[in-house]
Amino acid sequence: MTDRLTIARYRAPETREQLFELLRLEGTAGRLYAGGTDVLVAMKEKGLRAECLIDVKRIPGLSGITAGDGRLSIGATTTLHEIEASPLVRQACPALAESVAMIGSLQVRNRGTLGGNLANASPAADSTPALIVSAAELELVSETGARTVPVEDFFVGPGRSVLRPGELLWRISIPTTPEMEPLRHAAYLKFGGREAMDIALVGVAVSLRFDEGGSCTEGRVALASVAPRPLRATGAEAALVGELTDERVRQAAALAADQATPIDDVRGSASYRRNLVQVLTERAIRAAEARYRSTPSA
Amino acid sequence: MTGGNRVTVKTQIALTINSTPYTVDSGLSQTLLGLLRDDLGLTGTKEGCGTGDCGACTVLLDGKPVNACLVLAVEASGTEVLTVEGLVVGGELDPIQSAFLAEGAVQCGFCTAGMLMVSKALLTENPTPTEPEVRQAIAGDLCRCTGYVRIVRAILRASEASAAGRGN
Amino acid sequence: MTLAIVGQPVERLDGIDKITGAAIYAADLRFPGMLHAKALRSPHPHARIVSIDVEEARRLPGVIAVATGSDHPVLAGEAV
Repeated sequence: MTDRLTIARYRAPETREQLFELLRLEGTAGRLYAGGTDVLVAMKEKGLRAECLIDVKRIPGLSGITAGDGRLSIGATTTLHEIEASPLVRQACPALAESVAMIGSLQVRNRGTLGGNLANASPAADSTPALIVSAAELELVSETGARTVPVEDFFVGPGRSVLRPGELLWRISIPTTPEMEPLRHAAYLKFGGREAMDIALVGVAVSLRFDEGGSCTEGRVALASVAPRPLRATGAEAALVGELTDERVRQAAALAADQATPIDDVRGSASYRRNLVQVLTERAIRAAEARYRSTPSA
Repeated sequence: MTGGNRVTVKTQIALTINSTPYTVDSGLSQTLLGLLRDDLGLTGTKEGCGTGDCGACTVLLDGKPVNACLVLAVEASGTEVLTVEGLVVGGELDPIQSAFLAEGAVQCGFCTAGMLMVSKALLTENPTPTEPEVRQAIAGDLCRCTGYVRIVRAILRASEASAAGRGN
Repeated sequence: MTLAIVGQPVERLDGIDKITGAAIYAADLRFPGMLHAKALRSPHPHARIVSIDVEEARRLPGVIAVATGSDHPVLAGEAV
C-alpha cells in the first residue's frame, strides 16, 4: 500500500514567509500537509496526487490553545487529542471537546488537526456543528493579508471551502465574553452506527441561551451530514424561543429535519437520516438544556 | 520497494527507535511503518489496512500512540519511536505483556502489537483507567479473534499489577 | 482430582513470540533477492477467457515474469 504514495518533494517550512514562498513556487503541485490522516488516505485510496507536500507543523504560532481577550484561540495545527484533553477547551467550549473526541481513534486524534478537519470540508465533519453553535470564526491568512470568516460560511460543498490558492487556515477562535458565555450550554450528538471509528450518519449540535425565568431566548442548531455542507437549521432556531415544552422541542426538531437535505448513500438512506435529525435534535436540545441547568449561575 | 515506472525519491532519516539511534536511507514516499518493517526489518509492527482504520500498526511517536501507516518516514526524523520490540527492557516483559499472556488476550496475535502499544500509552498517562476508559483507548484497534473481552481484562489486570507494585 | 492441563490456565506455546513481536507472519518474511507477486483475477464471473495480453505488463521496468494459466502444464480440473 505504501507504493501508491508518489511524493516527489517534501518541504517543512519554519516561518510564515517560507510557507508563502513555497506555496507561490509550487502552485498547484503543492499540497498543505498537517496530520496526514486525510491527505495520506486520499493519496493511498482515492487517487489524490500530491507532488510536493508542504508540512505546516513547524510553523510557530500555528499550533496551541490560548484563552484571553474574550476569545478561546486554537491554532490550526493543534491536534484533535490536544483539544479533547485541553482544560481550556473543556471549560470554554465543552461541546467542542466532546465532538472532537468522537473523531476516529486516539491514534488518529494524535495526528489529525482541527485545521485539517475543517479544511478537508467534509459535510460530515464532527468538529463543525459545535463550532457553528459556538459562533466560532476562522482566520485565513495569505501572503497579502488575513480575513476572518464565520465558520458556517467557510464551507462551499463537499471537499470545498472558501480557501483560495496561497491561503492557509491559521486559527479557530471562539468568543468567550460574558455576553457569549451562554453558548457554552451546548451539546453535540452523533449517530454513526458504531461506538467509534465511524463517520457521522447525522450529527447535531445545539446551544441555548436562557433568561432568568428559564425560558429559552436564543437557540442555535447545526447539522452535519445532511446537506452538501454543515447546515444551520434556522427554522428550528426560531422555533426554540420560549419555554422549552415537549411540544416546542418536538416542533423545532421537526423543522430541523425539514430543512435537512440528506441523500441516500452507502451509509444510510435520506429518510433514515431525516428521522435521525428529528431524534438527535430533540435529544441535543435537552442535553444543552441540562448543561445550562447544571451550570451554577455566574 | 519494487520499481514500476515511478522514480522513488530517496531521503536520509535519523531517528531513535527503542532507545537505539538509527540513520536510514529511506524513500520520500515511505511511511514510518514501511521504514520499520521494510527498511529495518522490525516486523513486529503489522500492516492491517494502511489507512488508519485498524490500529495494527500503532507505535509510540514521542510517547503518543499513532498509526505508523499514516506518518511519513521523513516526518519521524528526530523523533523517538517505541515499537513492540522495545517493550522488553532488561530481559523483563513489560507488565502489559505479562498481563496479555496471563489473560489469554492473544489468539492469532496480529492485533497484539498495536493493542500493546496503545495500552502502554494509556497506562503511562492514566495508570488506573476505568473499563470505559480502556475501551475508549483501544477503540482504534480492531481484533477479529478475541472479542476484546480478554484484552480489556488484560489491560485492567496490568494496571492493577502496576498499582500493587507501586504500593510495595 | 486436579488435572494437569484440563481446567488449568495454559499459556499459549507461541504467546511469548506474539507479545514480543518475534512471531513471523507471512507478510514478515524477507529473503535476499525476494520477488513480490500479485494475482490479477477476472472481474467477470463465469466468463470465458478469449485471450490475455501480457506484453505491456512484461515490458514494465522491474517486472521479472508474468504468468498466466497457459504457462501452467496442467489446466484446473484436469487429472494428472
